[in-house]
Amino acid sequence: MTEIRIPQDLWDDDREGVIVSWLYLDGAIVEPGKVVVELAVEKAQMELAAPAAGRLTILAAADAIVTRGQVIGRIE
Amino acid sequence: MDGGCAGRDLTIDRLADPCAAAEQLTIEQAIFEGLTQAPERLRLWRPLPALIATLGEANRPDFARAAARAAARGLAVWVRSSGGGAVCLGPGSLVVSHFHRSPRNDIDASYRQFAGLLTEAVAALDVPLREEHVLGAYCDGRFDLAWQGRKVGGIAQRRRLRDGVAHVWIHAVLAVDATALRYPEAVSEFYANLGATRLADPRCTTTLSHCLADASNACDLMSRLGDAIVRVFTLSRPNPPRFAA
Repeated sequence: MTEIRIPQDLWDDDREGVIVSWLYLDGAIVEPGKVVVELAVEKAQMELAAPAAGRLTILAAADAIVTRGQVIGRIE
Repeated sequence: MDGGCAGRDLTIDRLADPCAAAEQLTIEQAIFEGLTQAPERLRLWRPLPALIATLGEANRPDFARAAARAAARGLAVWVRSSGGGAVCLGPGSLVVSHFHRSPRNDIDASYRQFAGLLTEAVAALDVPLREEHVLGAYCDGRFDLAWQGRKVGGIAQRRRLRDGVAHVWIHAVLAVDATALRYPEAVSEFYANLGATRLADPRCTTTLSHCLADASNACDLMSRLGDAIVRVFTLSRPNPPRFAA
């Protein structure tokens, strides 16, 4: 199992971001390196890629408020 | 830029005439998609009247209606992929876009560096800007560029991480001449048609031409601002830039 985690170094402090959208449905099979989710914080919109191949489980849905370092999904 | 890219070649596109925002956004999206191989790039352009919304705003149910009403007022609505909120543009604005790769995955470092260079450029025109969150302004954010508490420019980013390297598209819109003063009202009207409660308070914004201590310096302000930005970006790196346009 591999976690999809918002990088701890993506921003400086305890500001909150938001999940803009998932590009795959919960339970979809994803490939490593493919963008799976977009998030936004402080007028910056960012893509996160799948860290591994497998079945995606979404832990923080679109519009969820998130913090840096948070696990927002996993791949099994 | 951003530390690890210093020393790389810089290409500068400086477009002389006002141009369609949709076309430039398409070009810039393509530059961003090609950043894996491409050199660092700086682009300066003046837009024809347009309202640029975000993907989140475009997903709202009343977006088509709001866009149609803005278009009826002569403001074509387009969608950008960076964050923030709606921005109204016109020939009184200058768009500055910077594309680069960075070993740092830190959005705040990118904001600080870009804001610092723009502030330095504007200071050459004797206008002291500072980074300041101008609450109530259109598309407000922590890295607004403000003069006496009023927003003159804003910055947003689009990023992706590839093999440990951040691909960064960071851009600013600077309100330069007086025609830009009416833009916040257009943003508020767009939000009202979108069914959003958000407002852009025109009292929270101003333009560079209004910030000048000597009004006679307003002549050729857009051109001198572009010169100053190119000069500051050029001096910030060891290699001379290449002008593509």
